[in-house]
Amino acid sequence: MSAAEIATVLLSLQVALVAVLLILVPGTGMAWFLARRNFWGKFAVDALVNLPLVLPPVVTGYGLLLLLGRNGPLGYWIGQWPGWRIVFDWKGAALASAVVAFPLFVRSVRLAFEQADRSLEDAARTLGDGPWKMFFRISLPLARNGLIAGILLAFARALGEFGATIMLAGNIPGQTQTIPLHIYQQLQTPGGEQGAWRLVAISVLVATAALVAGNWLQRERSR
Amino acid sequence: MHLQIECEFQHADGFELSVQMTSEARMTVVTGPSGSGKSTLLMLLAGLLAGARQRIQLGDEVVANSLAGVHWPPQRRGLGVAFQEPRLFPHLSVRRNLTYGDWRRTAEGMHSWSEIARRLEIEPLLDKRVGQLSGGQQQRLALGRAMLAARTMLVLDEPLTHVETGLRMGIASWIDEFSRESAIPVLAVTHNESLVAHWAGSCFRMDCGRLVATNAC
Amino acid sequence: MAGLALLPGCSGQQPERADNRNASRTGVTILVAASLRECVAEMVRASGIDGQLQVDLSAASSSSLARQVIAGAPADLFFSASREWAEEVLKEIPSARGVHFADGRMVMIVPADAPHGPASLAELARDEKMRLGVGAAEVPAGRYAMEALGQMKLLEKLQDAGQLVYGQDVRQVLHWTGMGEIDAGIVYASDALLEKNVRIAQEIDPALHQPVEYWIVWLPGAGGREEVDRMYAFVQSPAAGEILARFGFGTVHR
Repeated sequence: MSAAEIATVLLSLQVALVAVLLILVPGTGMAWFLARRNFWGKFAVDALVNLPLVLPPVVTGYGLLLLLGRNGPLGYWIGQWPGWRIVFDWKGAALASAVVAFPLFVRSVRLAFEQADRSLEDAARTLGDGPWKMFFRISLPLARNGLIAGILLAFARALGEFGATIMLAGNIPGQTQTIPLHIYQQLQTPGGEQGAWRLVAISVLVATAALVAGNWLQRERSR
Repeated sequence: MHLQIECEFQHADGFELSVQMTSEARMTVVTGPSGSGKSTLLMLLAGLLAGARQRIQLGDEVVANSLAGVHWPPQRRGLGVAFQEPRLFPHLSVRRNLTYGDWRRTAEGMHSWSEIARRLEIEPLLDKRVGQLSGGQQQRLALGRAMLAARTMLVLDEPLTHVETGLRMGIASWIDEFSRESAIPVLAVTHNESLVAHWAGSCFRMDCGRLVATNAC
Repeated sequence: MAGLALLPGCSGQQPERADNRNASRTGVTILVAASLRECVAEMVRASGIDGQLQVDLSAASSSSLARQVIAGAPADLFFSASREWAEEVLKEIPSARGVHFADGRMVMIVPADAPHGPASLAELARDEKMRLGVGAAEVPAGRYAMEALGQMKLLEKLQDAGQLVYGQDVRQVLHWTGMGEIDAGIVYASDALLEKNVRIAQEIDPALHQPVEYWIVWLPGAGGREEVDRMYAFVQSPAAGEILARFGFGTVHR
């Protein structure tokens, strides 16, 4: 493997991990919100959360670009911070992956919250837990398998993200060129199939490792 | 101890609860056939049912008054509740289930968790997972957990139905003793007549969501 | 012909710098249509601008790149593989300027290991068993191929004999030919030169189809202005023309 391929793999792992970290807190909150609260306009919030699942990722990426580009409402604001860059930067790749993977995580965790035994939460409340304490001591641990599944799904999706990433972060080797972008570029280059296959093999390896780790973590509970 | 409950509650399925009761006794027993609204009454007391017209006074505190917009959340009421089902936390060990709401946080002394574990005969089980326990063991654990969490009142819903016959009356006596020594009153719901007799105190009978008899057990 | 068949010597492998991950705006960001990537990387090297500062190439389709530019993505130069997208950017960003710097050329390719393959499109058309791959009518390369075949008075004959095979894009035609699945294909010379499994049998006269224009657009981005200007000028120089020819592109004669 060449140094550039190793850099690509490391960058991909970094981007996917940061994407998962970005999703974790808002995703869990959103999952709880959708699983437990009934409010006016819930349908619209639900649809919005799932939008990146339905839209072609390129469109999601384009939307983010319009929002975060120099001419975009958020982009202008970010531009005021010296040294901060989202477009054509690995942070943009992580953000794009996070947005695309967000609904998968929320779906998985939401299902876990919906299936949780609410009477246990009531019991914890009578035993002195406020809502937050109850959430962290009971609800979250009980949703553990769904949480792990959500993290795995999001990680896998982030690792394979292409369309939104190339739109928002570009395709710059060593900076924003993740594994799928590298493979795309190799396939665009006649005779580049060899390099593409090496990265495909690595993707398979990483995905398998993540799956095995996830299964192990899920089994740990019923030890 | 002063316990006063006034409530009117209409369940979605049409069941109606309308109760006015006052008890000054240390041991209060509510009895009646199943479906008479006893458990609903406890839920209301625990603060787990919203949307009822209610006024509840626990000791000197009014913990709920729908007219004044007062509704203390469950964690603030200081009750120790043993539900009809054990409601144990499957991800925690027996020990951590037992001490979950333990407000004294001490392992020594009369009402310490170790003393309660000993009296309820769950000491040898402390390091197990709750899934490994029998039905009787689970109910005893849930009972101990409620006792350790009780500050203002111990609330028991059919607390001894699954407890092994050989242990039942001993534990019933000890609950009475615990209440007297710690000055924590008990409100128990049961249709077990021998328990009602055992815990002589204030006694109410319910049927169809209404009190049908007071101190008539 | 000889010049075209010469494989680009130092092309390809890792022309871009992969060392500095902290993108600083003192570098130059070049957006490049995927089909131009190797060639532009070579021109960057030849121009020498990457000696003084970091040059980042970001490759994607011309349409994606144009949208990025219009949305305000921080870039300095845009190499477009189509006239339309270059003009779109010029229209949206008045302070940008652009120039048509190269032409695409179409060739007929045959499998490299087929010494007795057809030597010309006319020869192929005479043998009804032979099959010719072209891009689908929706993609530009397919349109150009059809136009050229029409001008050569071969299109009807090939269609009637069922000799035409339509690929999703040029890349597919290239693959099919390389694998020997079809006897010949019409693709861009620049692609044909990079694929080892095919050889060029016939060049197609650019006058027979609509021009395939490659544009460079100078963007009013921030930083590295002098180098950007130099690159913009270099692309139009005879030295760049030599590189373009090596990669299978035709230069624009002024």
